[in-house]
Amino acid sequence: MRERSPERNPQENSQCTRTHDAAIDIRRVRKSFGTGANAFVALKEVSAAIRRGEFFTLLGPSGCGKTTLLRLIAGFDQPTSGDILLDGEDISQLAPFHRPVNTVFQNYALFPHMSVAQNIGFGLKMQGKSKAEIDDRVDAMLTLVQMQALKSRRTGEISGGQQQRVALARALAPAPKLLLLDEPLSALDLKLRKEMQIELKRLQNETGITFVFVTHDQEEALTMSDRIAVMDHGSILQIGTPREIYDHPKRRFVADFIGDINFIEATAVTDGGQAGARIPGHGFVRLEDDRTLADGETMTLAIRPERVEIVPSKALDHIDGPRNEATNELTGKLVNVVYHGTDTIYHFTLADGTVMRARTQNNRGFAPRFSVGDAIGWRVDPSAISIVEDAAA
Amino acid sequence: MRRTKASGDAKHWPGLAFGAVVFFAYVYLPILILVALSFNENRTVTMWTGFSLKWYAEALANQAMLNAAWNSLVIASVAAVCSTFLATLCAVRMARDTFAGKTAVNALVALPLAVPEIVPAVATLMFFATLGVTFGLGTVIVAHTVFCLPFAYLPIRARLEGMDARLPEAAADLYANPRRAFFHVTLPLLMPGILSGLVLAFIISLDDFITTFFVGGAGSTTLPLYIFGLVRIGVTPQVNAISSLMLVLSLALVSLSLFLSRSRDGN
Ligand SMILES: Nc1ncnc2c1ncn2[C@@H]1O[C@H](COP(=O)(O)OP(=O)(O)OP(=O)(O)O)[C@@H](O)[C@H]1O
Ligand SMILES: [Mg+2]
Repeated sequence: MRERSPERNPQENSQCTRTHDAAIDIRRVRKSFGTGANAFVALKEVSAAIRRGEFFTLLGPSGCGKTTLLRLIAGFDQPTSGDILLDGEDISQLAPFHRPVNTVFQNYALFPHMSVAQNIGFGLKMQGKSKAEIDDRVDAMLTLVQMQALKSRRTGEISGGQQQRVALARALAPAPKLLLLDEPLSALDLKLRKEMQIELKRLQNETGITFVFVTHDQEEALTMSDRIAVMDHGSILQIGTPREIYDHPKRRFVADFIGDINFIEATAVTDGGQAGARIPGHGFVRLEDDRTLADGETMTLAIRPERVEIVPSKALDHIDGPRNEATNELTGKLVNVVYHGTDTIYHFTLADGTVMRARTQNNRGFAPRFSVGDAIGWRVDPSAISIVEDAAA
Repeated sequence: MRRTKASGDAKHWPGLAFGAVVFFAYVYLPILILVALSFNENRTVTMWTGFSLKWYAEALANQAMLNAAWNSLVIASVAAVCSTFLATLCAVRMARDTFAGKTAVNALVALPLAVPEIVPAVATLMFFATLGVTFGLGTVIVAHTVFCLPFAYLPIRARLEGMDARLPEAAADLYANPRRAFFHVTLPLLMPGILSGLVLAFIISLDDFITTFFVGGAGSTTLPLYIFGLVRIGVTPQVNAISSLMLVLSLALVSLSLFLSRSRDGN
């Protein structure tokens, strides 16, 4: 036991300043399945430092390697190369039953031959805890997930949402340093799912345990996470807070995967010390992105529809240039107005035919001020424009 | 269109129902008659005169028959337990990971089911003869253990294949080392398959004639061998009674086996 208490070891603490507060540090981890010509690379050099007490989400489409990464952290599989550090200690070679890490499996994997209480107590029993201690802890866990009434039921005799809570309690009971959750809510219906999202967040706050949460639901990721890692094809494309990921996507894939977004092809303009872009047929827009640009470089701009404001266009003859550089006011032609209940989406075209969307809230009721076919003006704040890399992962 | 529908679908072939009736009658009528005649008061096997349990009383008082029944039970019990134990080890090992020739090993385990029993029976006889062991209960038990193995193996493997592979992983995740994961999770979940295999092996051993005939010796006469001996002298109602008793026992065990393999499929 003593050799596995690295917090007490001063040498370990000074070893790596960048990530020394990381609960889990994933360093250039690769994982391939099979050998030779049949080898399939499921993870390509993935790195991430997950902080202590953080709600960290892996978000990505099906098959991008989320489960594979979780399985490496849990120890069910070994990385092909790279290291996984838990509180500064390399655990890549540690068997799963030696890791203070517990998992909530995608379909719960509850033991069907045991009762709810026996499932929750299993980890403690395997740790060799006393009967009294196990009973106390199981009771506390049952209370935490509000399952006291069903504690002697078999796991096959409870509903999906209840199974989910048992799986959670079972994984939390041994008080792991890290909890891995593999799409724990995906099997639930929408209403229950919303409830469980709130409950999960509450449990995380109460226990202070680091959560690594897997989902392919972007809304779930945005509402629950402290930070999100967006994955695609075995790589992490961007790590950031929900706001960073949503407001400042760095890759076209990230921008596209989360929420609705407009893409515009443009060329960089750097003269006059003002970072900007030239949109063909429309002229210059000002940017706030801190990226250093080469003059004339082609790039893709990404703008959220709710950041685009539709304004009346009085001077159509100015179509070849923005009328107000400070507010990036441009022109377009309205092609469709779609009512969505809480908001309205305006579809309009640019000079080159690119279709754009602007979203406005119907907070004063639905009363469109523009009709299809109108020439309109549109406005976007420089801070709302992200430059995204087009390259595939 | 209508014609293909009527003649193409096997359900509508003419005479199918009649064929089925003939088939079932052929299979089950002799058995029914045998059971009925075991209750016949008369000695002649062809004429019903009245209900009686006297042939059962006579059979149960027959010391030679009881000895044979005892031998059958001992052989079947020991062989079933041994073969199920080996089959469990084999199935668990085979399921754990992939290795070169796994398919071949799987086929080899099941192959005895397809080989005519006389072949391994003669081979085993020669094998024991070469070793110079005395033929008797011991040799019969060893031979039965071997040919029961595939019967015990198949339900266990089926159960393993139906088991969620993440359950042992969940156990490992919750601090169970491989040994404890096996005894706390894998084995209990496998139990219905193991019991079903055990019962199946027991029945197969109980019913066996050929292998027992070849590798048996003094003092290892089993019930099927004993009945065979009786029949050579002449079919008496007592044979009917003994056969009926065996039938009931077999049916009960087969039902138990089916029940075990179907129950506890909780998830
Ligand atoms: N044991 C394995 N052998 C071969 N390929 C595998 C293995 N496990 C996973 N893969 C492959 O690795 C890729 C990533 O799989 P993974 O299960 O990590 O995806 P995921 O992101 O969890 O997807 P989902 O959202 O569908 O669960 C997939 O293409 C999958 O087919
Ligand atoms: Mg997955």
